[in-house]
Amino acid sequence: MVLSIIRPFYMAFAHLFKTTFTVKYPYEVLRPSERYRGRPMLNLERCVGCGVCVWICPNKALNMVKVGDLKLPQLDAGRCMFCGLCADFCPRIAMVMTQHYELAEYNRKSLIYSPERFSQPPKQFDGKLMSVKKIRKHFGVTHG
Amino acid sequence: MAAVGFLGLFLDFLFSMYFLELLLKVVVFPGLMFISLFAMVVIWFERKFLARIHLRIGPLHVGPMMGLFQPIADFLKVLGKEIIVPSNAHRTMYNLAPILVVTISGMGLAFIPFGPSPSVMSIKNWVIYYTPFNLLLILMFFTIRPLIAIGAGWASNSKFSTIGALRAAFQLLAYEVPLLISIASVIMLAGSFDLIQIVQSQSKVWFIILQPIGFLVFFVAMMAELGRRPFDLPHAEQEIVFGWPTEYTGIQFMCVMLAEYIDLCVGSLLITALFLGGWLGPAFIPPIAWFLLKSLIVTVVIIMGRGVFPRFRMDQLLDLGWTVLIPLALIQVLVVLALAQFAPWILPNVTLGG
Amino acid sequence: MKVRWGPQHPVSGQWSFFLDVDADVVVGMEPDVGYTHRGIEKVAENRTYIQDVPIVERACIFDAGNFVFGYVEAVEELMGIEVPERAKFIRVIVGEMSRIASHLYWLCLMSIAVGLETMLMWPVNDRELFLDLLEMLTGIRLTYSYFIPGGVRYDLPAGFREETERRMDYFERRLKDYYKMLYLNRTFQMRTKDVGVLKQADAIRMSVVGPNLRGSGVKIDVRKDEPYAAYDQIDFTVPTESEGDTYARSLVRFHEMEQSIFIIREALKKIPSGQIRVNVSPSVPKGEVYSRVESARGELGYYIVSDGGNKPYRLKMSAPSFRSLLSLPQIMRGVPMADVPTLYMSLDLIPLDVDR
Repeated sequence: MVLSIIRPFYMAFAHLFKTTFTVKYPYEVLRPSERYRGRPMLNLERCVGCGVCVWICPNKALNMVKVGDLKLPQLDAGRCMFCGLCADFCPRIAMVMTQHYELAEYNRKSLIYSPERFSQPPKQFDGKLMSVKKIRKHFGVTHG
Repeated sequence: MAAVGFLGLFLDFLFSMYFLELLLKVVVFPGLMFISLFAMVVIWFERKFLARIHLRIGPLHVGPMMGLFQPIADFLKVLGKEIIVPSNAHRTMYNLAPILVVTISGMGLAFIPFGPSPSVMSIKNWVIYYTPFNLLLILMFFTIRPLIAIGAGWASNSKFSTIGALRAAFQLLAYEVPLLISIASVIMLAGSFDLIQIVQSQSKVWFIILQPIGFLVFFVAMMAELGRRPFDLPHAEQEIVFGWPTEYTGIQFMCVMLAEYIDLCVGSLLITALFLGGWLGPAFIPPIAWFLLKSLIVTVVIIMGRGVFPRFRMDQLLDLGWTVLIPLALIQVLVVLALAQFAPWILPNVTLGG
Repeated sequence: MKVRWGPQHPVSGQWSFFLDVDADVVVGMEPDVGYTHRGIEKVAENRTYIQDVPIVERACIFDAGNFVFGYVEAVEELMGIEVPERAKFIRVIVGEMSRIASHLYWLCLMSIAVGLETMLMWPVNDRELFLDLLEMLTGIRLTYSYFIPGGVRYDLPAGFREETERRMDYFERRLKDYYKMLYLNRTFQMRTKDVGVLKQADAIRMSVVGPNLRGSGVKIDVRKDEPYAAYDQIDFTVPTESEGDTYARSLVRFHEMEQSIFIIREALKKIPSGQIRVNVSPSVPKGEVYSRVESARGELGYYIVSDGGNKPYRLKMSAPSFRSLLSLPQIMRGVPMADVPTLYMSLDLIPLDVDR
């Protein structure tokens, strides 16, 4: 019975000398895996405006708008749930999922991505990309 | 003529060394500045220490390194909050309770001697006010605390505060008994109520070696009196949002937190003085430093209890207090009496009525 | 005195309950659900079968794998198709990882309810290992949308097998640490043994499901009774305890995590190569089906009625937390108020699941 009182102290004390698990975001950023689904991105040359992505989106986040004499999709990033069905169903492989997840804005209107903005690739991460050496050395596992 | 005479006496006193030393003691050490510094350092240390146990980092950004100024930032934030008094609370008691709780917890510090040092007063020890009964007075202040907690919980007039006051009443009043009985055996060994005498009678061997059971009982009972996990029923965050001080915001909340850390300070100083030899130690650092060092180690062990044990339930807590701690304390008293009767050469200073 | 443990409470979750308290003893309790009702069943009626996959998994985010598992099993039974073997094994792997992640989250909640914050932080850290694996496989950490009627969306990536083995070894050592820190901790045993006893007859009568039922001595597990998707090719045991108190239920969940590690290892050994997906037509023949799977919280049932089109006519989920909720007022009668969070967390009720 005494052991069951002393042992938790010993275990907690042993944890003082282990590496911490948290990273100092946004100065250190963990790299997502290759299949990570951030917001989608449109390839303007390949898109023909067929509308399959609008039909398949479960949340109605995509809408067709007229740009010149073509109709192109427009994304409402507030409604997107990052399921990736639009990228899977596009018959011309014009929609890909990027790794962009820092999508916060100051007002609702700027959450709507017009087709030009929709087709721009995301900026690079600001913080230092977290070197996985620290995690790999300690746990013997990798990340991403 | 007499008025000028009194004025002269008064000015004499004001500019005397006696008053200056008293001022130094009250304001700097062990008074206001020491308490604020202690509270800030212990709050910072608790957050970092528990964070490392949890494999995370703790405060990081505020301050030159490792978030050292985080308690100052919290203090400034808390000062800026609005003081809200619930509409059907008893205003007088509600506003009085935080002030009382800080005052009474801080009064305990006025009597603890910190170690031999040059002084203008008659007793050559760093203490604000010396009486030969200082241990009794400190314990008296410990006993008044639960009453203020009950008063504050009742005056807040909210359900969670009432339940918290009830739990504070049960726990804090029930654990006074093992506390006092375990102190009784120390007093018997040392032969006086004076903390200076008690520390000096540990000069050959510390009381923790002579009375291990008493130390255990006193440590557990002190943790229960301070309201630290695993005995933090009055403040149980998961069940009764914050217990008896739920409704306090702003400066009143800060007073309650400060009182908790002053109690922690007084408690660990008492444990050190009674069982761990006080300020005795090799002479390469001054005795006051030894005292503070030992009590800091005791504080660290008390803080660690927060990351290690779940919380007790009320009936299990009272069970532990009454069926385990009180018999152990009584056994300790009997052991001391038996040793005094049959083997008085073990004990350093036996004055048990001839 | 009526106390409302409302939604603004550190531990109550996204619902509230009304407690009748008589000086620290609870005399009666009434749950008040509905804060997170999103109308998932109605929304599902206006979306096609494949658009329903992301909708249905948001019914309970912590166990998203198993919720979609039940849905695709039901739709495939309605369509009358058989998925390839490789897809079955991949589904089992994802389902078990989802179960481990859900049980680790339960461990966090149980530890805060008892008052130990350390056992909140450690399991939530280790849950990251599994979320990283799932991200490597499916692309998203919590709501994967990975199963679709007909198979799975992507194949196993390169390096997945070695990565999983390494993390499983590490996690097995951590499970031993958790056992020593929490289950052999004297205070935790005092808080949970003989607390909230749910007798076997009561559990069956009140239709409790999942680890709560297995903690009371009834050995019912859908993966063994009606095996689906490659569970019949893996030989695992179903942990059961007989006392019915909180400690027994916690032990059942702990042993289930160990069994899940075993299942994942066996599935990785036995997985065949081949297709991962068959073609399905968008419209489903007329009919109705009821199909069950074992989610982390218990038996999850899907009742789908189809009228021949490409949208379900009616989709009903029989959620496990809603069934276990019925026993909560009964076991909370006459306990001290300090036991209220312990009992509530020991049944592992997620309000998202109750309201859908």
